[in-house]
Amino acid sequence: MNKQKVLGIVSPLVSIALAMLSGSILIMLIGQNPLSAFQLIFKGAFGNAANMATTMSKVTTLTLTGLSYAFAYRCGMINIGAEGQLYMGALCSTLCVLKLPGPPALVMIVAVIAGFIGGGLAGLLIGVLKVYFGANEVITTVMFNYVMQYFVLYMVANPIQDPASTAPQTILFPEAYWLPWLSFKSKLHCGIILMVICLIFYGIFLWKMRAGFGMRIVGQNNLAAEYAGLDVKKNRLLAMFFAGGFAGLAGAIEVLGVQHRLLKGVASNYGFDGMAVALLGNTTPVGMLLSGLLIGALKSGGNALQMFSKVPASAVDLIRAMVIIFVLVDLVRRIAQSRLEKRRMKVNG
Amino acid sequence: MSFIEMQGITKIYPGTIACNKVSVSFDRGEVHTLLGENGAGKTTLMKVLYGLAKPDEGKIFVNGQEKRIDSPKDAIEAGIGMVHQHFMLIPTITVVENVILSLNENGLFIDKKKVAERLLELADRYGLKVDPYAKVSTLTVGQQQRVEILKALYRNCELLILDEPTAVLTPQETEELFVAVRNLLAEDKGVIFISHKMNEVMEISNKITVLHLGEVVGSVKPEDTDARGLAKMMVGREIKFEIEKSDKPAGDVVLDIKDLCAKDARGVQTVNNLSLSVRAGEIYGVAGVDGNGQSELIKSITGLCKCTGKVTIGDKDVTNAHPRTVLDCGVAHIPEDRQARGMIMKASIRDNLILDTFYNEEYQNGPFLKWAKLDEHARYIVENYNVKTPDIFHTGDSLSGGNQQKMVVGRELDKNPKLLLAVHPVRGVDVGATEFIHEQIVAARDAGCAVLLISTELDEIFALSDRIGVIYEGEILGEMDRKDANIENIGMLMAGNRI
Repeated sequence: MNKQKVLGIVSPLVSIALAMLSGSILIMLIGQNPLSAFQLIFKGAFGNAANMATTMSKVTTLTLTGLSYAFAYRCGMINIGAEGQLYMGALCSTLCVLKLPGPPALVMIVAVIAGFIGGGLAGLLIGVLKVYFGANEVITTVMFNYVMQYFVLYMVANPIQDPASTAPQTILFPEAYWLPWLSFKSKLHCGIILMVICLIFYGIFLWKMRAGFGMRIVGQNNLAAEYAGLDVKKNRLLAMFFAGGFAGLAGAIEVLGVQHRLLKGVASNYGFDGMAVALLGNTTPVGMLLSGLLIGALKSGGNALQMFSKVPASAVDLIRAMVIIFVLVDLVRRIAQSRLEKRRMKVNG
Repeated sequence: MSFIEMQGITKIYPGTIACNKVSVSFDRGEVHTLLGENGAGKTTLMKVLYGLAKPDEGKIFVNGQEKRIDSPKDAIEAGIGMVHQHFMLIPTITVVENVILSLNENGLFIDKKKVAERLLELADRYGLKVDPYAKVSTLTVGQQQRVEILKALYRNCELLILDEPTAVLTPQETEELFVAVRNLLAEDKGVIFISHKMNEVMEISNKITVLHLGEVVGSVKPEDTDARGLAKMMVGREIKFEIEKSDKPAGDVVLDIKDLCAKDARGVQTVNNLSLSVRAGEIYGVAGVDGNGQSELIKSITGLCKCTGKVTIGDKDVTNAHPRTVLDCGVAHIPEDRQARGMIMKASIRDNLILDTFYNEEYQNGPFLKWAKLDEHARYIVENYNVKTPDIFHTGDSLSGGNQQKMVVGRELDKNPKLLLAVHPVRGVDVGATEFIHEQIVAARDAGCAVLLISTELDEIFALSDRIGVIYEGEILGEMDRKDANIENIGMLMAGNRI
């Protein structure tokens, strides 16, 4: 294994350690014991089968939104819009369940696909705006997040609101439409299998297939891609479709597997946390699975922390944010690299 | 005592030692040339002197006194001026406004007239004629360079650094620059001249210091050596200046261009009714100063920009065709800017070497790629084209400039192309790699490939071409056989004078 790869593994680990450390200091400043706080987080995330299932469902959604960011990133674009695309996917799935006739199992499958396609089209729209009108995708995705958030709010507060409720939400879907359980007892839904399939597809597509290799060339240097005869526009549109699709799938899984209804705020920041997953995982399949586990565990353990100690759950949010800052600063890699180089220089010269 | 003395300067960049204990001194009243291959450390040394790079070791003395130079401001105070390879002028404002911007001691109000007067006086004294009230965007490259020199002189510079000043000039403009340089010497100012054009170096220098891989090889006076000797110092061996070519007659027309017009990214028409044709087994050299439509000519052929007119390759009309279609006609393309277009710096050498060949059927396995075969192909090119790297999975930016170019050249020539578009194929490449790349291009020609060579270096055009066309403001102003061409008639055409 070369040094680059070692650094690629060590660097995020150190970032996590540094974030934990600064989190600990913060918890100490509140006057609490950081060790017991972390214990609580761990118990909350993995303490029993039910907690574990909750964690895994968060990991599923997070890794999918992470994939959304990663796919666009590998084609040279920054997709801040997973949140909006997730809403879009969730809405499309919900409409299938509410409006489509036919056997529920079949409708459920159609709803999952509709979630993917709905999110994908939302992503594609961003791609079209970028490729044909030169609109910066960072800005359009951020804006589109608001559009989708408020559109879904309108939908669940008006046309598809549960008539028996005053809350902005749809009816609870009949159980026949729910994603099947992997384990009924712990309430672990089968979305995790879809997530793993997507992750494997991501790895194989980008690193083994011809189309994926072309897409990575576009992402790394679009001028070189153009020069090599690749269709930059087509690749970007395709990448944005997939990016949106993964986020849309996350939305479908949230409504079909977790909430069992569409409600205001169903995305609950998963779109943005997904960016953290992608960055911490270095947009590699294995890296994102691991970082998805970590961020998911923090997200679900944070609730336990709030419930059973005097440390607020926002301490966990803070640790999560710190992880990202340390990853972005990439301190470790910088220091290690300049050290290595200098040592090599001294040896050679 | 020398005016400026640099002692034991060491500068380490990640991956390379740019300068290794370099000691050199610069005097007033002389042109001191720094000569060396790309990556020899000339520019880095000058960046250290001008306060743009912080040395890891070493000291700088001004008039015998040690001085810290941490920023260009310190350098200017010490009497050092620098004209960068890429000009630092704002095109939308006038010459005098650009000069005012570069001054530190502007008060609350600006006396443009006073500055302009002093500017005119300086211009007169040194033979650097320029209109102070002209907008920079309306000036030629040569005039802009004069403005840069005047900017430095205005700030009372005693030692002027000229970083590859002639790269963008016509032979005539170069002569004018040299007149100005001699005027500077007459006023007891010093000049540091950076170049790798041997004939110019021999003409203008009083002293030549040769750098190689960040170290000083030696200092000589031009009268004690010749171009061959300098080249030998630069690379440590003799360089072939002549390239042997087979004298097979040229074959059928491969590339035919008729009445081509194209616009650049700003929408300015830079190619005007250009026509030319290249035959199999022939090298057609396009000479000309940078920015006369060369880029758009190549982009039009390769489908990278829209054009009008007609482009035919073989018997296929490829006007405005997709880049893929053009490549499929058997076209290889060594692009003008290898780091921007020809390669991916952060991708592996393997990925770079299969940049477009991965499309070929022999590497397909359904929607998947035959990676083992692609690796093998990459290793083959690395070996056959002397790309110096420990393995094919290192990133492209781990290679030196010359090896990056060998990688690009290897990838392109290994396709056995019918038509090769070689744009500045040795720009920024050291002498050793230059020789190798030129041999490869000639070998392709001998094997029947039609070659369109674009270069701003006349040496290169003369050494390789069978026919030469001069491009000026987007048209071929004159065309002749190699045997009829000489520096004078080509130089006149490059400056826009029809013969």
